[in-house]
Amino acid sequence: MKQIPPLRENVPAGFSVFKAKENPETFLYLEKGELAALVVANGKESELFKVHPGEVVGVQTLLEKQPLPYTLKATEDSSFLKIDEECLASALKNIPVWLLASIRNISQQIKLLLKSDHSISPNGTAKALAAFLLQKTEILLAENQSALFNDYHLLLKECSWITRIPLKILKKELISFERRRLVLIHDKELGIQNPKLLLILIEYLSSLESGKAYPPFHFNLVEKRAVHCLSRVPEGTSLTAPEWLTCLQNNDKFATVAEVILLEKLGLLIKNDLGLLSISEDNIHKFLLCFEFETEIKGALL
Amino acid sequence: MKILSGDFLFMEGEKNTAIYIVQSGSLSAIQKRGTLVKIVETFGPGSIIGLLPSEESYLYPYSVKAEEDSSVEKITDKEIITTLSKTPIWFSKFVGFLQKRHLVLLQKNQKKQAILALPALLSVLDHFFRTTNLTKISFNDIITALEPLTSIKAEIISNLCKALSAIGFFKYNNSSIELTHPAVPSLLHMVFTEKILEDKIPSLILSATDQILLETFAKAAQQNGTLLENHFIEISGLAFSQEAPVYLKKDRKIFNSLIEKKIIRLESANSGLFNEDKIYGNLEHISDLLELNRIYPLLDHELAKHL
Repeated sequence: MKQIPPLRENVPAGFSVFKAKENPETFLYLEKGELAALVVANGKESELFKVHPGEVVGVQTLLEKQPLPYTLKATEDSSFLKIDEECLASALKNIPVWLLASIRNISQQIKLLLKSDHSISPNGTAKALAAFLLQKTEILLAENQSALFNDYHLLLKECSWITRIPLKILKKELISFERRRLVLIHDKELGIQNPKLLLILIEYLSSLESGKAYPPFHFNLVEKRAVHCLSRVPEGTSLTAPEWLTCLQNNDKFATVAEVILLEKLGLLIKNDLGLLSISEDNIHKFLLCFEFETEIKGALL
Repeated sequence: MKILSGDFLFMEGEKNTAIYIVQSGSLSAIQKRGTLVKIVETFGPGSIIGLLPSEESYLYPYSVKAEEDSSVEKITDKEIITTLSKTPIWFSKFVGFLQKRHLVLLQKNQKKQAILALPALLSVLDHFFRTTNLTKISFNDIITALEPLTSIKAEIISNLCKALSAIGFFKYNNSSIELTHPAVPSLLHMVFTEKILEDKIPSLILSATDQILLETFAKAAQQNGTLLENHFIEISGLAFSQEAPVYLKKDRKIFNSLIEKKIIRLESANSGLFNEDKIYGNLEHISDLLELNRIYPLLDHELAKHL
């Protein structure tokens, strides 16, 4: 494909190549001489930088279609190439596709960085709010106080300051949390009934982000019955795997060794020093909460 | 080149020395944040992975793993240079400009993000200290706790920790943070909350006079203090006067602000003489307050220098 050549210009020393606030829609490649970028502040002219042979100037102005923030003056007799959009486009058509794609890639990254977008993933707000509320609740509980906050507006303001999520979005999310029974709101007060639900929500959203399934939400009926069965076993019970299987089968004839293996794999049954399996009260409680609040955690309909 | 399903093309943090064009299959970009592994992008046939390598080092921001058996074409930095040398000189300079601008913006952005991550870091340290009383926390635990709160990368948090370590806020060695004054992050978090959220003058940020009074109290307490319960120390007005700088007026009124803030308690002697008064304070809290007031002005002036 034929390439449109850039325009070559020769200017004498002192010549103003571009004036500030002009939109030249072109960038320059200096071949000979010297250019200076000048700004006027408080009636005084000062030099921002100099352009030397082999350097380009004004690329940003062309790509971002912004007026030139400085005046460009030749300090010596100079010669430069003027590259406008058409000329650049024709050159881009003559390079390999991978190079073109890479240039586009950099260009997009620059645009993103200029926007300084600290965007969050779609699950970001819920996860951030849940993590923030959980941290705050854990502090209250560690200091032997109840999980009650006097002013949720102030709390959300703090969350917004920490997470950089706009207050408006956080408020909306908090209302959704209330609908999903994760928090209680009364006037200005905010109560956390069960901090474990917030932890489950964070774990569930993290699983989604990693593209993995959240195990408690993929339990079938037999597996759920097995967890319910474990919850009724007295604390501190330690049994061998076959004994656990018998225990599960006494509760549900469809239980198999696969359930015992799964329960051990997910940490609901933990092997002790004697090689026996004992129950993890914490994990069983968490799984029972997951079964009970699956709809609220997923939030699909709420 | 062929990449088998599950194999990595490159790892996060490795030097970007080539770009890859996906010819077939599917690959995903993965970022590790503490214990969480996140998929941030997926690449299919025709996608370009990596940025044009530049003279200055640029690191891959994620690891790339093949989700299925894939095929990619590797274009090395040498091939890129050869291709660019065949283009007009002004064009290769134009590409060079883009690369440089990208790098400058990236560095600026990382600085900005590090500063933006400070509230989240303080909040996490506050949580760790108040729920566990630990003074040494692994960096990995911090990143795991920060992950849901902020999308800022671990590498940037690490830079922030280095900068905070340089001003003596805590000790950081890439793998853990050691809090030299464990309560100070919580106090600083409280200061910011008061200042930014409640729009109040932070009560814990003290005037120069109040800081001198507390320093004098701490000195006198170490020399002539009587230890009471819960780190409280009693000193006499005389012990205070002996340690106080000459220019400091030795009377009760100078303590008004500290008494009002409940940092110091003063019991006047029946004789009415200041030297016979009793002054009380919690030495641990006073030491934390002095550290907080040393750090606070440095955050404005010194932090940016170290980032």
